[in-house]
Amino acid sequence: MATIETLEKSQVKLTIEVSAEQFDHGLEHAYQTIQKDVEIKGFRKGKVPMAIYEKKFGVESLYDEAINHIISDTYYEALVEHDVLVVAQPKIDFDINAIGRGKSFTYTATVAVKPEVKLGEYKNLKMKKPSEKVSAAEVNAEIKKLQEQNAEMQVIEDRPLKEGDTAIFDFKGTLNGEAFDGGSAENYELKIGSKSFIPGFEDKMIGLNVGEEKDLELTFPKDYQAEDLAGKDVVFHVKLHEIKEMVLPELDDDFVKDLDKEGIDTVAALKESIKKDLKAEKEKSAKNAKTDFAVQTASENATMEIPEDMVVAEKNRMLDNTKQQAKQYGLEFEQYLQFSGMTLEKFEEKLMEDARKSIRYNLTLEAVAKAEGIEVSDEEYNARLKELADQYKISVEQVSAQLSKDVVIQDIQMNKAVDLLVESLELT
Amino acid sequence: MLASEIIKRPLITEKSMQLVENLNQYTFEVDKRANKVQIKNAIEELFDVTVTSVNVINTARKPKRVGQYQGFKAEKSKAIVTLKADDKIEIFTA
Repeated sequence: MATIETLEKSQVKLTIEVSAEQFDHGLEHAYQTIQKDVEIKGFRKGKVPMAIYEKKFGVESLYDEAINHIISDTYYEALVEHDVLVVAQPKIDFDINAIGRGKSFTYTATVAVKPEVKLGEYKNLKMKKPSEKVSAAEVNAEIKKLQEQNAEMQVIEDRPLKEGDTAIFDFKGTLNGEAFDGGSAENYELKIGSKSFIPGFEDKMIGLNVGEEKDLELTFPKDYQAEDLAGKDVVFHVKLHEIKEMVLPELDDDFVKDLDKEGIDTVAALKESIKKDLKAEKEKSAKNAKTDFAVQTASENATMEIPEDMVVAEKNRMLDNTKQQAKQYGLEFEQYLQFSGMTLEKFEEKLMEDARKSIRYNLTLEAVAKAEGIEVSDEEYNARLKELADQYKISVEQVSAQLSKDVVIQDIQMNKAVDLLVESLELT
Repeated sequence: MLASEIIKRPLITEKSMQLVENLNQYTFEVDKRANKVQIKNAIEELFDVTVTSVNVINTARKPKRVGQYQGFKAEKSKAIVTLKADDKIEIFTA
């Protein structure tokens, strides 16, 4: 027996009555689960009658298990009875003092249910058309990158160091005449102009000849990460060993041939192919932008009250996923956190945000699918199964055994809803 | 002897529980010196039931060694008491 009451924030409160017989049944079940481990003198292990057990340990020791059993039974019955779609674990409340053998008791379960979604505007949303054009400059930048990848390093001896060269040198830094940690190295390779050393270091090295030595007087920046050095005046003694210059290969058909790309052996063809790749990339990102915009705007326009429990449940699911992934990479979860430079609290906070968003999106899409009457045909279902099977390289039967039909169908519905949103976008 | 001196404790084991269930017989540890009549009267007095028969088993002392000391486990007497049908002794059934 259960009564239902709707609370705010998409929660319902179920008041469920458990009869005395049901409770006794629960006690018996509870004893059955522990019986095999009960030991009392005079009886073989697992052969102790319930009455004897109760006399020795008290019937109260069975309450916990009994209540769990009863609640899991009656709670699901109540859900079916009232046709409730829950989205999180229920919060169960009861008065422990009202419980006893031969007595009936009532408990309440407060649980988050799937929120009602009121869709706002979701069709014909206006969006600025994302650019899909590829400029000549972008193509040239790509080619420059290719040239740099294939560049040769040439040793220079007849001129001093200049910007863009790579210098190989020893250096020794001293603070008030004493060397400090991390301030020295030998045969260090540094690209001048890469700004990987403190400001001024690279500039002051320009003009040095091979074999030359020089003292660089420098000041560490105030926000330098090593506190004992920040803002201090230091002297670096450097000795230049070698200067190397990057020589870009000539952009001609020979260079293109050396790249060894199939079917491309002229500069024009290379440009054409790069342009094509960039275009495809841009189209893809434009499509993503459209999808993001459509789904986000639609969900922002919709109103719904997402129960906190639902978010927490989703967050926990995400957290578990992350832990699993970390394990697959052979990392402990703590290590993973360290790598990403986050504390557990911060990480959870972020997940909460993500969870909220993803629930919002999903609910919106579901509502759209419903509002538009999106149906999924058997062919679409089978096609999707095939797709999944190919993706994971398993047979269609295995897929359908692992995923329930409802899940797959919902997935297709969502995708169709997304397509619908994107197609209806009004690009300006 | 007092009834409470004669009847020392109920013996609750798998076997004695079987006797309760099948034959309405209850097993107690009793004083070695008591005879069947005394046991019968004591049970009737303590539990307010009618006893139809009493069987007594005497267990012999058993050697028992605790470290270097040789000793014995005490002798004892067990009484299996049959009750009139429908009579019950509560302590055996909860």
